[in-house]
Amino acid sequence: MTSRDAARVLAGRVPGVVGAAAVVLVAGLVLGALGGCARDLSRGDVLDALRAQSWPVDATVESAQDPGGGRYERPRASARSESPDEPWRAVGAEVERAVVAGWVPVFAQCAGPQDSVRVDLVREVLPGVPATATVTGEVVDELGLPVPLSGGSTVVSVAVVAAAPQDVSDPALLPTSVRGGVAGEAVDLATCLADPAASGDLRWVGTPAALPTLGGPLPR
Amino acid sequence: MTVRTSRGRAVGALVVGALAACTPSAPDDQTTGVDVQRYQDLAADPWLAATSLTVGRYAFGTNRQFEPGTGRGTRTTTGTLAQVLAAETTSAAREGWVVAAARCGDGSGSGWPVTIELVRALSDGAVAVGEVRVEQDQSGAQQPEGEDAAARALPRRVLVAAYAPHHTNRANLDVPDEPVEFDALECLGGPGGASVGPSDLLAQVQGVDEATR
Repeated sequence: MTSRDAARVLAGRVPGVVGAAAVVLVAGLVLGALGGCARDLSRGDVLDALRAQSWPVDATVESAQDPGGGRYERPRASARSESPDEPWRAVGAEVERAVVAGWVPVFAQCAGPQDSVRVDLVREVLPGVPATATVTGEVVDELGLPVPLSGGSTVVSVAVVAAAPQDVSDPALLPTSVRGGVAGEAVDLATCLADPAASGDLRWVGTPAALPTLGGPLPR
Repeated sequence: MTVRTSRGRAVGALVVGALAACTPSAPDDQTTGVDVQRYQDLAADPWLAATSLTVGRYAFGTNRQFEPGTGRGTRTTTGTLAQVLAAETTSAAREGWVVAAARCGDGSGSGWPVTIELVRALSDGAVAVGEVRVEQDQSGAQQPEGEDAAARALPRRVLVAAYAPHHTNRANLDVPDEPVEFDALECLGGPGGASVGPSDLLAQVQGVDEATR
């Protein structure tokens, strides 16, 4: 190849190199612009995340209309089942399933062997989006009135409430156990889920973490 | 007919618009960091164990009336009425709640047989008012003749509530050094009257009498 041929080839490639650089530059600008306009977390995203949870099984997922006045409804899921066992055994079985699914127990409250039992659990359903689950067991009759186990059955209720997008922007009203990220340390549930004493005194362990379904108003 | 309907709708829209314009909007100070901290105090109370919580806020449509922060929960405990109330107040005392008042229901069989009111200092020194109520036995269980329903050991549903004053509330509630004795109330089988302690604790924490204080 003569020097004249080489110059001709180089002259032919220069526009190609410049074009490729321009394409890379434009693509970078487009990606940058898209990043700047990243879609904010929506309530639908959180509802979808609740639907994707493996626990509670057969849950109803819903969210109501915001009532106004700066208050907002949080996405939630609920499930209900019945058991012939005492509340502490029935709740214990449900909590075991929750822990397998990645939930962390942070609070339990109970009294006597046939009295109601409550356990609160926490986890993130999306990165940075915490949720709380409250599992309660109570012996009731067919009208929902409290009765001894001989006259009814234990109804186990699970209420999951996730942070709304407003809570993610301002976590002021989130429970302490999830405000700075979900704690990984579980409380010892033996206080309530081991064979309870017959005394009926109210006992608890940990700090409550039930997120109410209605949030706000947030401080200005 | 169509014209008349359209005119009616237009007038209706005007009236609704005028009313909306007259309704005061929520003031900027309806909820502050003070109300949030009091809300968090109630939320973290393991005796209360509230599942329903609200932060102190503006009462919509009013001229600067405010609502206290609230926390509510329920549970079932087995015992006589007196045993259940004793277990609740003893447990509440572990979290700083002091019984300040109690009163019997009207004895009609509906409503609450007895209400216990407690007070507790929150982390900023403000005083919250708590309430313990036990539902009437509605199970229809056979009651031996001559036996008082309150004296039977039954599973009883307990409703607990607490109210934290809104930051604008100037009520000056105190936490008594000693709890008020409530077991002598006549509805608990004692020789006492139908109430002990002040009767306006809830009204004070709710700011009901704010304008007249």
